[in-house]
Amino acid sequence: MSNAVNVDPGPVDAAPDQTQEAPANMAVWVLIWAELTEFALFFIVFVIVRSHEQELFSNGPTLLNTTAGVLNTILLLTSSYFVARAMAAIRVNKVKTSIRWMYGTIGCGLGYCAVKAWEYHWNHEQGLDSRTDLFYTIYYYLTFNHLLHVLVGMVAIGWACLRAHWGHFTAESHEGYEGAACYWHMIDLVWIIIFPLLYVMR
Amino acid sequence: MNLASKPYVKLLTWVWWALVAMTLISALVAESIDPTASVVLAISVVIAIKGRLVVDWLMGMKSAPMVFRQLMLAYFYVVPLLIALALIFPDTVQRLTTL
Repeated sequence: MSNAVNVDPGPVDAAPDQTQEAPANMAVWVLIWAELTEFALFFIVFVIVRSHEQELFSNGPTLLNTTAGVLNTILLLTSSYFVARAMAAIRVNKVKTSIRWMYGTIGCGLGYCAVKAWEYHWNHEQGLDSRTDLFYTIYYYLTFNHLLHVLVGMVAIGWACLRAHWGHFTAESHEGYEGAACYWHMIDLVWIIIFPLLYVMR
Repeated sequence: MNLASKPYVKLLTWVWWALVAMTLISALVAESIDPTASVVLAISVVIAIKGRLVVDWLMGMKSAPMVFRQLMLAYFYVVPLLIALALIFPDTVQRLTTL
């Protein structure tokens, strides 16, 4: 009879110290880089048009609802934090805990959509719309495009939650879960540039 | 660092607080200070720091293969720098982009 004791090292110790692999798979990274390139092109267009319409772009942000911009930034940063907590939980096989964190992310996404709707309504009441001037045309194009990405991200996170609920993800195998998480972080990263570009730098 | 350990989770919370603090300071700057070149540069540095915090810690890329991490970080060094230069030297951008 063996004296060896089958000691469960505990979920925390079981997780790898160094992944040495990129999260998710190459297809997700191609998508993320394509999206980042798309937004980089928008930023280039913004600064070029700004250089030709300096007064317009200097006055434009002063009429924007900075509170809405700040609220949405905090909501997206919080959602990214929730995603990171969800990933930490799935790595130790705490699937239910992980799904709860992901629900928090979807809640933040819904909050973002609500604040954006309020902001657009507020703009409308101030007489601002996409045809007011070039600044607002680009502002609406950038922010609405980003809003669409948030909606796609929420669907991706929701689908990942469903699959986790059905038992498709474990501590050892959760590539699809990680893919949705990385996509969501990309959405947050883009907003980190959009917020100062539109609301802060005047 | 173990990407599921308690110290890592604690670090995530600190990173989140730092990101929120930087956002609030940026908003305060937007409301109270006229945008000089140094303010624009400072805001660009804040964008780079926020990007790095999200990529390295929230996204968990600190221990990912170098090429993935460096490409993500490069985006947050190059794009804010180009934006800052374009905002500080708009006349040069205008001259370069006039047909």
